[in-house]
Amino acid sequence: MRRFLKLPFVWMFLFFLVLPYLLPLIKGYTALASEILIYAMFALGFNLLLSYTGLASFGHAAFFGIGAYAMALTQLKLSDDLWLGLLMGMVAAGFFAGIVGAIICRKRGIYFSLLTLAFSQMFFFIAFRWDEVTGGETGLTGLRRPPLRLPGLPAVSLTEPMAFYLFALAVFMVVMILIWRLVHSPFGSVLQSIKQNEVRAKYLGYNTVFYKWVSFTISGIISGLAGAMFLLQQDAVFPTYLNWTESGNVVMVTIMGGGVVNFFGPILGAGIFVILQNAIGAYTEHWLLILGLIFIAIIMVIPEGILGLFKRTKTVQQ
Amino acid sequence: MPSGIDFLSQGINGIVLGLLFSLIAIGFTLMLGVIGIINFAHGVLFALGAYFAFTLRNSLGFWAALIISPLLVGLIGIIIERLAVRRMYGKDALFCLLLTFGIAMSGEELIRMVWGKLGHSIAAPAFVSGSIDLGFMLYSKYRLLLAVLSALILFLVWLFLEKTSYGAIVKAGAQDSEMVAALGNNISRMRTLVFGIGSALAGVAGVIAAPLWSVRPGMGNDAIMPAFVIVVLGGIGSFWGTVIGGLAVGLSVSLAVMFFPRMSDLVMYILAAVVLLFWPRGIMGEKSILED
Amino acid sequence: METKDDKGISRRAFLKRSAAGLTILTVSGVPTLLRAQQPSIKIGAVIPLSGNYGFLGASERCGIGLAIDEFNSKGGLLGRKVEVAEEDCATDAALAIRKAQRLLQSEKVNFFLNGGGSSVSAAMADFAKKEGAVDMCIDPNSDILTGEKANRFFFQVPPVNYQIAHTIAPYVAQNIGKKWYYFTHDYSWGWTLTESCRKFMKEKGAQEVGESKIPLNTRDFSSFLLKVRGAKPEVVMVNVAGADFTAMVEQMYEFGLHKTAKIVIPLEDFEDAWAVGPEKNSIFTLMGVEWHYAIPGVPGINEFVARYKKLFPRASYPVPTTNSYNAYMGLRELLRAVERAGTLDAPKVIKALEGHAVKDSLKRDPTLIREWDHQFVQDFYYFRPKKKKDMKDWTDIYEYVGYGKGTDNAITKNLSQARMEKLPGE
Repeated sequence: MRRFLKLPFVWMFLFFLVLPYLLPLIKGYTALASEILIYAMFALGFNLLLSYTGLASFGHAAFFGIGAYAMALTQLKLSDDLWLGLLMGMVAAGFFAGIVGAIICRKRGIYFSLLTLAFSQMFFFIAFRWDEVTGGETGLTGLRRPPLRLPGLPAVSLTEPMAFYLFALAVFMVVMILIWRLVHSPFGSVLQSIKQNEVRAKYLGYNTVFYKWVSFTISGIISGLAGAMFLLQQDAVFPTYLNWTESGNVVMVTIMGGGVVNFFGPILGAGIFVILQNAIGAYTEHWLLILGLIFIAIIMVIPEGILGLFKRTKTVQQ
Repeated sequence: MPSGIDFLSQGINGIVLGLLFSLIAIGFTLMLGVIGIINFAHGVLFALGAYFAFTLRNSLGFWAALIISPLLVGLIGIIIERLAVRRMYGKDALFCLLLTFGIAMSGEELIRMVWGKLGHSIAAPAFVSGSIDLGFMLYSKYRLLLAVLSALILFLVWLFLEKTSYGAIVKAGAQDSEMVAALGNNISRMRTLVFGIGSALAGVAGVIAAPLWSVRPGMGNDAIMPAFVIVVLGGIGSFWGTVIGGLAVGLSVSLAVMFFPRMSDLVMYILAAVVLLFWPRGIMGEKSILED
Repeated sequence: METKDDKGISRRAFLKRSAAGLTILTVSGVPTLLRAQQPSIKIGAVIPLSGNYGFLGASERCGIGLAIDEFNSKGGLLGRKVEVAEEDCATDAALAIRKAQRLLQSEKVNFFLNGGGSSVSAAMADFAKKEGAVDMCIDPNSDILTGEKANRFFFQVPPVNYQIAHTIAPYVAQNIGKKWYYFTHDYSWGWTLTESCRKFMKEKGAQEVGESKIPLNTRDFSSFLLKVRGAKPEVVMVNVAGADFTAMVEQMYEFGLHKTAKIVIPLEDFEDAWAVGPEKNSIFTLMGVEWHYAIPGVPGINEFVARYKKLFPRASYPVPTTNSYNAYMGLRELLRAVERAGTLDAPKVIKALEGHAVKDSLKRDPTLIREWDHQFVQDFYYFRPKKKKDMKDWTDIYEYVGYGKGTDNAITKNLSQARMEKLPGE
């Protein structure tokens, strides 16, 4: 049983190993593959909250952006150590997620979404306006990818797209397996029971607000890590990372892939979204229209997402 | 230090601005309170109202555009509700939110395709063009008209909700739609109507705002975020909450220019955060079914 | 020589790709085939087609088209066709870098052209340096682009704020008024413009009576306009750009600001001016423009306008604007430099651009591509609104007043923050 459970990870790892060689067939390139991994990480972290806790955040881009800014500021002001930067990205995002979570975790449903949106807008404006620290509208540019240092090994440069891709793949696999373990742990079952019926979970003696807060904070930390990785990918950070449309995109990506019914849905969604954005932009300047229509179509036709569709056909066959 | 005159003129201006903000938010809060959906397409409907007015103004004039554009936007709202939004009722509210997110995305691009990328200026009607000397300050004549129109439309919405039997049903539907349906009211038609009215209100706000802020494809964003903040401030689904929230935003933006001009765009978010700390449901918010 | 050309961008980029093991075959495996086909020279244009500066892209596209047509109609460049691959940056720096990455890695473009304001361009300046690809920047006017962001791969085509202020401010102080109020767009472009105006204003003995910083994306200026009256200025300097500017002009007119003070716009785009129409434009006393289709006494300008009209009979604007001019000039000079260098090799093209004097600049004086900060040093003009009876059509709303030479007004080396790096092999 355990062996079978592990199988999807092995397959996924192998698939991602060859992905950079497949992408050129559809006008893609190596950096695009890294983008897919980073976006998938972001969506997985988001889905921990959406599908495993039942909280629909509409402001997660804020934590993604905070992670990126924290990493950039660490590199500019403190040290350009790779691990320290990533750690600071996670700590900063986790810190702010912790604060926001403490204020809003009592809320549910659409009210929760509304409040996350309001808070993320606040963070957006701070990034947009606090020029002395965040660089304001211009953001922070001209950063660099520090080399990868592991104890006992020589430093490895990550400047080549392929080297960075492999590093991103390693981080992605670790994060994915950690989230998998988390949602299948006793902690994960409590979250699920909160999602299904919070009142019952409360009667069973669980401090549901605390559990929701922990889930929110962890989700924020993973978003921050994704943001810090994205900074390495772009060597720059801009306030638009925190924009509400980005928050909307990650919800859409998660739903589109089928995150609500399948653990791996967000990964598929991220792949499709990043490739679509790249491909449509190359063909028409009206890419926003096409992307919007695709979103509408998916919500109307397959609201459970693409992997949800497979599940449905499977049950029909049975 | 600002003088008394400054306070007075900025205060008056803040109230005028606040009435416009309330008008922008009222359709949004109606949909949220009654149907329970966050309508991200609100900004696009606002923009459509302005663009229809831009097209109609030349041939039909300001007053005709003020009536016809919102009706057209209301019609578009009804079509959106019939074709798409109604399929989302009963599902997680998130789906509706994402649906309208997609509509907002493609809607903005459609506007760009139909009317072009460029911004356009819309003149105020000739009889309120330019400024008037109020003795202690020069003030824009159009803004005075705007204040009157906004207040009038808000009053009509209030009349509808409080003084008509249909308004009573709508309000009841927000509390308990099953009960309303059990009493023999057509809940589906009511939702379509509310979506239509909410859209028309977004449209009329667009028509009125256009001569001030000019029209451009991305103008929906100027409306959507204030609408959100006002709803959070005022409390979900509350008519008076929206009016108070709108005025609070208008006044704080206007007064902030005197003291911390650089913060004038941030101030409404700070206000929302402070209010939430003391009134977690907003100023006029009551415990709502939307919380579960 | 061909094999060098076929490597595309640079040796670094070449090594990068072969390290990735992706295109090693097409690069070195079949050079004879490539030579026979003569692949076109590709320009990656990252321009704004949506977002805050979405309207600029339409004008820039026409300028790019003019430059490409000029080369292709005489048989191409180095015997190859010139082609443009266009991407919408949506006035969003993050998106711009991703699009540039795509153009580089997937479309294999040889050179870049970018618009979309100063934040997109600052990001593109770093991108160009990192990738070793030449980028011509065609629309912003921010000083950082020829200051701290300046590098060997990045060229700034339009004039920057320092020069604009140096041309306009002394004229205003001497001829229009001495008590000034500033509206400053609250981001790096606005600050540097106001800061420079302030410096030259003081030198001419004018005095500042107040300043309002306008947050980006402000729609309503009423409170700011009420505030300015208290200061009783003679001159209001409006350093606000883009869609915010259009909205602000409406409201200045609405509040009758022009009745109490003279309004000066140090830098105006025609796209903005035409959007608000001649009536509301008449409230200005003076405005700075980078280029105009009817500057008197400039050889070749009429032919240029005629060519534009012939090539784009259905363009949004019947005459070329500053932004079409800048796009045209940036791309034309890049392609001419390729021609002079006889290669697509980035360092050689850079050296052909550096220090070059453009005689047919379509301005009164030749334009100099300065070596030490990569600024196109050129004339800057000031215009005033035309009388209604003199206007020929809706585009014809300004008349020429005067100009300042770039060589007199551009920043000097000892004041500049530009620090150029050495190219590989120098």
